[in-house]
Amino acid sequence: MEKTPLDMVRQYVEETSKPDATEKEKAKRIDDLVIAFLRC
Amino acid sequence: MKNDPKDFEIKKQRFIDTCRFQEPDRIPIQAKVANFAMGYNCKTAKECYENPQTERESWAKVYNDIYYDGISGLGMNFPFKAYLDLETETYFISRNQVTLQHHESAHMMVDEYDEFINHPITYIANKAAYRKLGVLRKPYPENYEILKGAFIEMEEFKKRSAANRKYAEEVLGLPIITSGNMSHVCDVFFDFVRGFLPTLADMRRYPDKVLKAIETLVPYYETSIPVTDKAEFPFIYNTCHIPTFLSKQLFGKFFWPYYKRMITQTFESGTRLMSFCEGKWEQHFDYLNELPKGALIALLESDDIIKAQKIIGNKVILAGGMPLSLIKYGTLEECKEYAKKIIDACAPGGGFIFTTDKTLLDVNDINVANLVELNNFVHEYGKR
Repeated sequence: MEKTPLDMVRQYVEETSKPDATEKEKAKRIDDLVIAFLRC
Repeated sequence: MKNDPKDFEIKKQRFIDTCRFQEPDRIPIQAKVANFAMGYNCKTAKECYENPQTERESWAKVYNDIYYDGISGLGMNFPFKAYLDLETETYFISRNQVTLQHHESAHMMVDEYDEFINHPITYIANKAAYRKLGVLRKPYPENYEILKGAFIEMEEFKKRSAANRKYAEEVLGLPIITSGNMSHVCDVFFDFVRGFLPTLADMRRYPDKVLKAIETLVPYYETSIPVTDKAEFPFIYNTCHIPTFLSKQLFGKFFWPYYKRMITQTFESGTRLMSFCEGKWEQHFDYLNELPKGALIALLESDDIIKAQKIIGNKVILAGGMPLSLIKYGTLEECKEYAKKIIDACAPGGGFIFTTDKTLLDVNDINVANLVELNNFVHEYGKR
């Protein structure tokens, strides 16, 4: 099954977030990682 | 004249004093040393990004051999290895095997403004990044495994940068003048989303779309502007790319409002923005005179610093002035005479940092013997 880049960023955040991380914190991490793509 | 680890606090205070428009005990000399360090240590970029110790030793060799009061950094300033792992089309190593360069890689099409404005994160991940990072076009899960590795390498880069800062301060006694990087959303759009020529054309053809697109990026970047209770030193760094290509009118419409907010909010929080003003900024000097006194440190590149001193020197702290080309091709006496002229014009009353107009990128950019003696001379001539 193929995944979009955004799907993969979400997967990474799910796998690496602390168990008590809130949805808001996870959403912020996703945004930060995607924004980091711009400079790559 | 050697850098002495015991001088850390004295050197740091020189930058603080001059930025408060007080005359420091000596004019602070700032290093703008980038890839030059690797060539100076006879190492390649590959040797440095594969071995952080080699990277650190390269910059340390420069700082052991040349006198400075403060430095712009120690080591590469972005996670180059992670970008290579992602198969970036943006960055590459030039033929000298040392200088890290970049192509423009901004792929947004003119008919994609609405998509970008309505769903920026989805657009950036699935279109902008997908188009320029080869790894994202590989099959899953191969692409995911590489992506994870690159994210981890980016985190490791941050840790190495923090360790290099500690090393610079505690072992070399050299303050790194800035901590943190603040981007202007207009520059982000220009450099990484729409690109150089398309952005400049769109500003004239579709100004409302460009303004809306720039505003779309604000929520993701404004968090880097400090809010309150920030230590005065180190300052915060920012590179401004697009202003040199803008008329005064376009600068006022697209760049100035957010830039003014970056500067004033940072100043109100307790510290200052140090902006590398790429190219020529003279056409925008009137705007800078609107700022509170001492809020901005402007690293000038192609502007005449003595002329700048006369126009904005009462408001803006000026850094720069020493042409890299003169250090490369001039005699030592010519370099000293030029430095004297700048110091005599800009240093009285504080608000001046001595440094080169351009960053040292290649070992052939300068005559090293000239720079060593020049900085020794400025250290003495710049004594209060």
